[in-house]
Amino acid sequence: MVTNMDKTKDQSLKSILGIEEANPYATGAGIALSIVGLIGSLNALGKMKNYEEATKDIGIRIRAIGPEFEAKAEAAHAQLTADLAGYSARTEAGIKQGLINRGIKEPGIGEQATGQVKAGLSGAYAAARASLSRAKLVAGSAVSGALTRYQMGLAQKQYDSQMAKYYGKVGIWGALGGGLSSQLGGDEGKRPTVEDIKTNPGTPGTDERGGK
Amino acid sequence: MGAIGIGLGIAGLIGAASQKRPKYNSSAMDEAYRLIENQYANIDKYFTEAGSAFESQYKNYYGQEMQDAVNQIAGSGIYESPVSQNILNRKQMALGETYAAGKSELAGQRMSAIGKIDQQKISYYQNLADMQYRREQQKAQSRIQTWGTIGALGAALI
Repeated sequence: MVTNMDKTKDQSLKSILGIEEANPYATGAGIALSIVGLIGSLNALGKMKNYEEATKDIGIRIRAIGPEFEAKAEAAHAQLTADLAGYSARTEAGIKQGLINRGIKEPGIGEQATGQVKAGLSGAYAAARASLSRAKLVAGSAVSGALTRYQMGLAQKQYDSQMAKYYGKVGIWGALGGGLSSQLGGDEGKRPTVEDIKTNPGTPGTDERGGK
Repeated sequence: MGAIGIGLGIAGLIGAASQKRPKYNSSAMDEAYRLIENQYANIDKYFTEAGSAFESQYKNYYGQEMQDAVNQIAGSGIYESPVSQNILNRKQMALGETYAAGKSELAGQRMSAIGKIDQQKISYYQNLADMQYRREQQKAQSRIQTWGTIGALGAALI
C-alpha cells in the first residue's frame, strides 16, 4: 500500500539520491550536516560586524574633522593677531620716523601721536578679530551640523545593523525549526493527494464525498 | 543515480562558494578624496597668494594715501606741527582700520572655505563608511548562505 509518507519521500532528496529505505547513515549524515550548517551560519552571523564596528576607522577620521577645524581657526586667529601686532609696530615706527624727518623733537607730540594711533588701531583690531570670530562661528556651526547629522545617522545605522543581525539569527533558527518539523513531522498537516482521497475517503482535509 | 545526486550537490556547493564576489570600483571614491585634499591645498595656496597680494597692494595704497595727506596739509598751508600730526594720525588710524578689516575678511573667507570642504569631507567619509559596511555585510551574507546551503542539504537528508 502506498502511504502518504512514501509519496513524500518520492519527492525528497533521499529519493533523488537513490536512498529508498530508511537509511541510518543518510539520516546521521543529514543530522551532522544540519548541525554543521547551523553552527557555521550562526558563527558567520556572529562574526558579522555591526555598523559602528565595521566603520570604526572612518568614524575616527570623521570625528577628527571638528578638532582639526578648531585648530585651523585658532591658527587663523593667532595669525591675524600677529599680523596686526606687526602692523601696529610698523605704524608706530613710521610715526616716530616721520616726526624725526619733519624735525619735530617735542616728545609730547610724539607720544600723543603714537598713543592716539594705537588707541584707534586697537578698536580696529577688536573689530577685525570679532569679524573673524563671526566667520569662524558660521563655518564652524556648518561643520558641527554635518558632524551632528553623521552622529544621528550613525545611531540609526547602528540600530539597523543590529536588527539585521537579529533577523538573521531569527531566520536561521526559524529555517532550522521549519526544516526539521517538515522532515520529522510525519503526515500530520500534510495536504492530501488525489490518491489519498481515492483510497481513503476519510482523509483529514476532505469532505465526506471525498472532495477537497 | 545516487552518485550523480551527491556529485551535483557537492559541485553546487563548491560552485557557489567559489564564485568571486564583484568588487566595488573604489577608484571614483579615491578620486573624490584626491579632489577634496586638492581643495585644501588650493585654499592654502590661494589664500597665501591673496595675503601676499593684499600686503603689497596695501603697502602701495598706504604710501600713496600718506603722501596725499602730507601734500594736502602742505597745500593747505598748515605748518603747525600738532595740527598736521593730528591729521596724519587720523589718516593712519583710518588706514589701520582698512588693513585690519581686509586681513580679517581674508582670514574669515579662508575659514568659510575650509568649513565647506570639511563638510564635503564628512559626506565623503559617510559614503565610504556605508560602502565599507555594505561590503562587510555582503561578505557575511555570502558565508551565511554557504553554511545555510550545507544545513539545508543535511535537513533534506534526514
